[in-house]
Amino acid sequence: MNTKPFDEKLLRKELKIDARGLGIPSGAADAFIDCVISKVEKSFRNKKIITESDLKRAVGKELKKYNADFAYVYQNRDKII
Amino acid sequence: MSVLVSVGIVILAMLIMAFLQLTSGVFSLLCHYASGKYPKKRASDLEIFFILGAETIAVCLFLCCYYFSYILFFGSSRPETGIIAWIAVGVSIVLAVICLTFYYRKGVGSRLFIPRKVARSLNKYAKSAKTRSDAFTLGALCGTYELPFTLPLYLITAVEIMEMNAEYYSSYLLTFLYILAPIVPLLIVRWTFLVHHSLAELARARVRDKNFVRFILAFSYMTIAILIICFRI
Repeated sequence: MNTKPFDEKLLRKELKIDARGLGIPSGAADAFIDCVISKVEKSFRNKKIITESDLKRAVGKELKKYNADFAYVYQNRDKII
Repeated sequence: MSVLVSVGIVILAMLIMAFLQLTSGVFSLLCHYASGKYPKKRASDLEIFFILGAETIAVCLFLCCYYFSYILFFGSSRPETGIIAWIAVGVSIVLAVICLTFYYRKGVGSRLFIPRKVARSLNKYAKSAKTRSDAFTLGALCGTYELPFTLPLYLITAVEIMEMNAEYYSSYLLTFLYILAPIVPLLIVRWTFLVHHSLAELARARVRDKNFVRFILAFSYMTIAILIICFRI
């Protein structure tokens, strides 16, 4: 099985790019992203291994609370083509 | 009558070119990532060079097909036209069926016919495009991946335009419009991003219009086949 450690920096960077692409002001985007990442980390604290789709689902679920478009793009960008 | 049939076939081919989804899908991803990563001017540069890449490959392919058709039909060993016309009909019908059934993959989103590995790499290239040449290459690459659907059209259109009398200005105009057709959806996508629509809205619209796109593509291929059967055989 191909595993790699959870890279918070990479996730944060990707989310920031999506947020800027969607025209969300950077201050608001940073606040969303901090909240989302802390909640996701908390929910996976007891698990040693998670799949990419688990992570995507959890981040998407949290993002949906703040911005539906943001969550949609994050969850569906690999399903556009 | 013959000229009208040629015009009809070329217009249907233009419609198909404008409705194909791969290039516009990759372009919308590029617009999204570029506007997320770079300042407006650089993002705009990347978008323009993507469009130029897509247009360049369309012009090159059309000219290649035109030259190939010219050698085939107007050279010394002209093949049996009826057989070629039946091949064109067969290919058009097969493509109509493929558009109805396999153009989009089953499931959520608007995933296309291309292998998943290719889709992932196109997504990756759209995300990592930094320079004008990256964007230009990506545009050209998308035009190449659409070849299974566009190559027969380029060949049919080249023959139809050649068959039109060169005295008609319409043949030049049609050639010009035909080679511009693949970039019309890209210009529309760019305009939608410029008026502050987001990738989320575009992606939702693509999912919503899946059946409409399938229908238009299949209908256009089928009509081309019927026109060839009725007027060219």
